[in-house]
Amino acid sequence: MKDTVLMVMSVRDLEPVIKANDKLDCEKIYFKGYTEYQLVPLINNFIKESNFKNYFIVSDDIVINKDKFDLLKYYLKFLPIVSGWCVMRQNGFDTTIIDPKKINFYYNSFSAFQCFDPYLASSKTHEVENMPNIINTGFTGWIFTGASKEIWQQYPFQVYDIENGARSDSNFAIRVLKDQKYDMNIIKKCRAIHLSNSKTYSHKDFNFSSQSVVKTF
Amino acid sequence: MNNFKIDFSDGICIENDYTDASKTISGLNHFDVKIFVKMKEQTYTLAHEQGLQGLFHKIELFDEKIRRKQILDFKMEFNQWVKPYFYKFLVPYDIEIFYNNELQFSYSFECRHKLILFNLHPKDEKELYLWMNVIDTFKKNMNCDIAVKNDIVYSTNEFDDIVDVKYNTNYVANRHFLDLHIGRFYIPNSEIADPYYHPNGLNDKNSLEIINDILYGSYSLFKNTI
Repeated sequence: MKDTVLMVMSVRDLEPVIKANDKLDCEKIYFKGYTEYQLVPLINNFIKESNFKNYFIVSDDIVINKDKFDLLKYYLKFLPIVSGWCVMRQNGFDTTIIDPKKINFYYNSFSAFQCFDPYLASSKTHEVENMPNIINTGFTGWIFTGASKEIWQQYPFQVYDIENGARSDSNFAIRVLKDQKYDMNIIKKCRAIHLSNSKTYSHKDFNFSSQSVVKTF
Repeated sequence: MNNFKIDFSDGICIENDYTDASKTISGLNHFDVKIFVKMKEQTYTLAHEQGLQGLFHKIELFDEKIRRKQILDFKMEFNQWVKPYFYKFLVPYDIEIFYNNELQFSYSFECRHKLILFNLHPKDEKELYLWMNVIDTFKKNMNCDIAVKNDIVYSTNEFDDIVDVKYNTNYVANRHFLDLHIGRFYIPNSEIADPYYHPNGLNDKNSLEIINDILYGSYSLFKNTI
């Protein structure tokens, strides 16, 4: 068994994503058909009860090639939290790279927790060229975000609420930023492909009707 | 006031999600949109130059300039999307969006870090290989990701260095930035090249000319507009 596992939050079963993930040099576990809220105990129990060195997490509409994933694994030897990056939507100019200094935290009407809007602080596609290879970020967006078991246990998978948006990625980012114990780092070379266009994006694609956990180990 | 999106997955679509005119000083509830294309302007001059010995040499001067030409302007209401063109080939649009005569948004076509879908309809494998070669260069020049919809590409690993996402022809692919169709497309029940797919027709074009026309040939289409 390999020492790295990829946790995939899957409600769509997109063929290109599954094929690309198959090529990655790591074990995989697909949590199929669960909402982010339902995933909280599943993911946290899995991390607690398994014994991998590194855990990566990704949503089900992101493609990365093997070489870039290998590079992320390599950087995880030196950095506490690493992540790939991508465009938020194909028909927009925002990326998942966010300057922590630009983030404005706020309390919104539906949550007692602090949150932030990633779009308001995101780096644009034309700005990435001039950035360093290792980019300190205030958000990862679960674009193949990796960390050790210890860090995942310090910052377990959490969501805001069921009704108004779980946003587990923002929730994780805020806790890490607030504590200032670890940096979140995006590796510029590890650009992933987000299969998402806001014109065709629809929750109708999500399939919550059958739930299962599928793993390669 | 900058919530604009440009989408090329089926022609060009410009949209804004701005809704509240009451918050604006002028109260106007529309934007003014101007669309430009970049045109190559080539000049050829024959001149004479005096050499060291006092002799005149004939020299040929070739100059190429990129000029911007406006092709369309229109009003776009708040919270509206507009599809001004349905061309399926690549057009390097420049877009400027104004509110009350103030520039709010400008966009010059580029596809870096975006996923470009090539729907390939080659007549044979030789043509497919040639087109994949052109797509490889396009990918490097544009710094973009490549998706290909074609059963041969889908079933082999041969092009995996070029292609990031592969689809078979039955797959409904609608998650990309730009959708391009490479092949020979005709107006139904005719032998006339479909002008929405081929900016300069198909007459006697070889495989290389067909793909080059779809990727780089659009500027000639707008030569005589405005």
